[in-house]
Amino acid sequence: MNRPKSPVKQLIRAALRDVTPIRLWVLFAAVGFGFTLFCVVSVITVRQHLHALKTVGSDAAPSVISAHRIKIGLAAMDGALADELMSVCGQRPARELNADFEKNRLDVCREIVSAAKNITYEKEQAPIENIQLALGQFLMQAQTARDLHQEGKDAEAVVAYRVAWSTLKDKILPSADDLNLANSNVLEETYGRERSASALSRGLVLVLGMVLICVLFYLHIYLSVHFHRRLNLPIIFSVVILAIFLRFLTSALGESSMGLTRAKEEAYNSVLALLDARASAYLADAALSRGLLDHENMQVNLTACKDSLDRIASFPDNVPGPVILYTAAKSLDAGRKPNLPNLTGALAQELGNVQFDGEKEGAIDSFETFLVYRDRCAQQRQLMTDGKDADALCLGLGFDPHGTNMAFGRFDDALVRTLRINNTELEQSVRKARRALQFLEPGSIILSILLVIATYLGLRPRIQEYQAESFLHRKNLRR
Amino acid sequence: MQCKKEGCEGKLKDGICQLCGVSAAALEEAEEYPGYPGYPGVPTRQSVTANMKQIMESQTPACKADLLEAAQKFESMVPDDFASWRMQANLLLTAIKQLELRQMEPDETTNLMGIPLTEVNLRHACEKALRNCAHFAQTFEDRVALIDEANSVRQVTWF
Repeated sequence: MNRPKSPVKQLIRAALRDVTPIRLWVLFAAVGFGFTLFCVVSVITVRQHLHALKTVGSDAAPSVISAHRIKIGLAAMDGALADELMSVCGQRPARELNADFEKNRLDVCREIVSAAKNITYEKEQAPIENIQLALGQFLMQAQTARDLHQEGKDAEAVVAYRVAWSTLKDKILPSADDLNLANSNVLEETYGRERSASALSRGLVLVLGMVLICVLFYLHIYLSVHFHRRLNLPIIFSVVILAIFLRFLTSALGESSMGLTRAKEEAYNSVLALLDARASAYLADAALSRGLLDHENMQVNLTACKDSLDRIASFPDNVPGPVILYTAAKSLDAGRKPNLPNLTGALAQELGNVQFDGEKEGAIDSFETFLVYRDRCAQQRQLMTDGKDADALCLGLGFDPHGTNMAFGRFDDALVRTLRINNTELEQSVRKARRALQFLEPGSIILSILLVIATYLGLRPRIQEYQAESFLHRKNLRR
Repeated sequence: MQCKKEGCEGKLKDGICQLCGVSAAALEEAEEYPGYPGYPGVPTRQSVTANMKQIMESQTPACKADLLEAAQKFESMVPDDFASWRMQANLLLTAIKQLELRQMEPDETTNLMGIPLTEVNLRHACEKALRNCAHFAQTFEDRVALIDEANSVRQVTWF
């Protein structure tokens, strides 16, 4: 007795037996599935690129910059306070130093707000809260020291200053470092992970697109051989549009990837090195001022100053700074990366990562002015160690052309100039990379739907030939 | 099922006798409309079937005259079922084969069932006949096979 066969079994058997309409539906299903997969992978890849750009351009890098600016502002406040406590009350230098302190306070507050508005990761909130809480404490302690100085109680003012400094050193600066670390770690991790992942998914998009083009080609050949029709316009349209879109998609993803690399490797790394150098310079300057103010802790402060200067750039005593400067300038002029094995520190990183127009001049200028500043600091430290406080004070305070303040000002200007070039490039690279990805996500979805419809329109008349109700009305039977 | 035609012992498949080629429906119609003008009925079909059998099964290839004779008989018959269209398609296929093998020369002045004896015209007519035949196919598989055959015989076009 014959059992009725199930429709599913019949369908599978028909598909395996190369029954033309079933084979056409199977091919259409394969194309539809391929386009869906292509669309999903494209969207995921674009999102991955956007996420990496968001991390570098919007989430982590601005917070790292804010953390450094907070640190710079705090060091500047500390230096201004120490200098103010050594100045005569009511006189112009004291007023200027007070205004400088106030200006830096406002800068720090703005940066705290900016960092708070950009909290993206869990670890960011606690350092910002700690900075905010301790800053009020520091300001009160600084005001106490200032009041005591104004009352002529300089010894008590120094004690009050020490309290303020300990708040800064133990609470605020470590929190700024924590904020910096929280963001820079995430940035490095995200960049490393998504760079490889996005390269992989970019390859997958390319492979999927190529496979899809091959399937469409096979479909066209199948139709051409089975139906004796040379061209199927909707399928040719699908192949051409897919090939164009694939070319556009891979080049846009490549451009975005290059933009991300440029933003991170070339601009952000330089920004980070220059900000480190700037923060260290402000800390060194403040430590020098503290050494002048606080005789009891002079050696500690002078060591702190030297450590900070070493963080900016360090090289052996037997290698003269100008020789390193000459070697670096020569290599950079020849368009090579300078080989400076003796040089370490933030400026060494910057000199090794000169990429943009004007950056070379800025980096060389920074190193040159640093050498001058370093010499002035060494001179002042020597005077302080020798007990020549009046001479050291003369060199450290005021605007003597051969003093540390002038040298520091020139060094800071050079750093700011170089920083501005890299900051602009960082923003531009991220913006450009984002622009390259614009419309790719909706474009992939719309295009996939459009091409599935085009493929269906190409197959529909051929499938309809096998439907009893439609083939009798076929127009193309007319000659 | 046995064929209802007198003297025929053939079996019916898809309503068509496998021996005489007459469909059961045609027999019923012939009984209903005996001698209807323009409706030749059973005798014509028998004659055409015999002719076709002779052409298809002959050891020697059919000549132009054989094809024209069969076609002449076809012209007096209304193709309204599977067998008629199939026979017409077979006739046209034979003609196409003859033209392909150069056993017959194309001749636009000669008509085979109103179709000029050229490959393009014959292919077109054959495709049409096979598609019409598919309309009467009993099963999905048969219909698919006939449409495939129609597509394989059709003249290659651009679109």
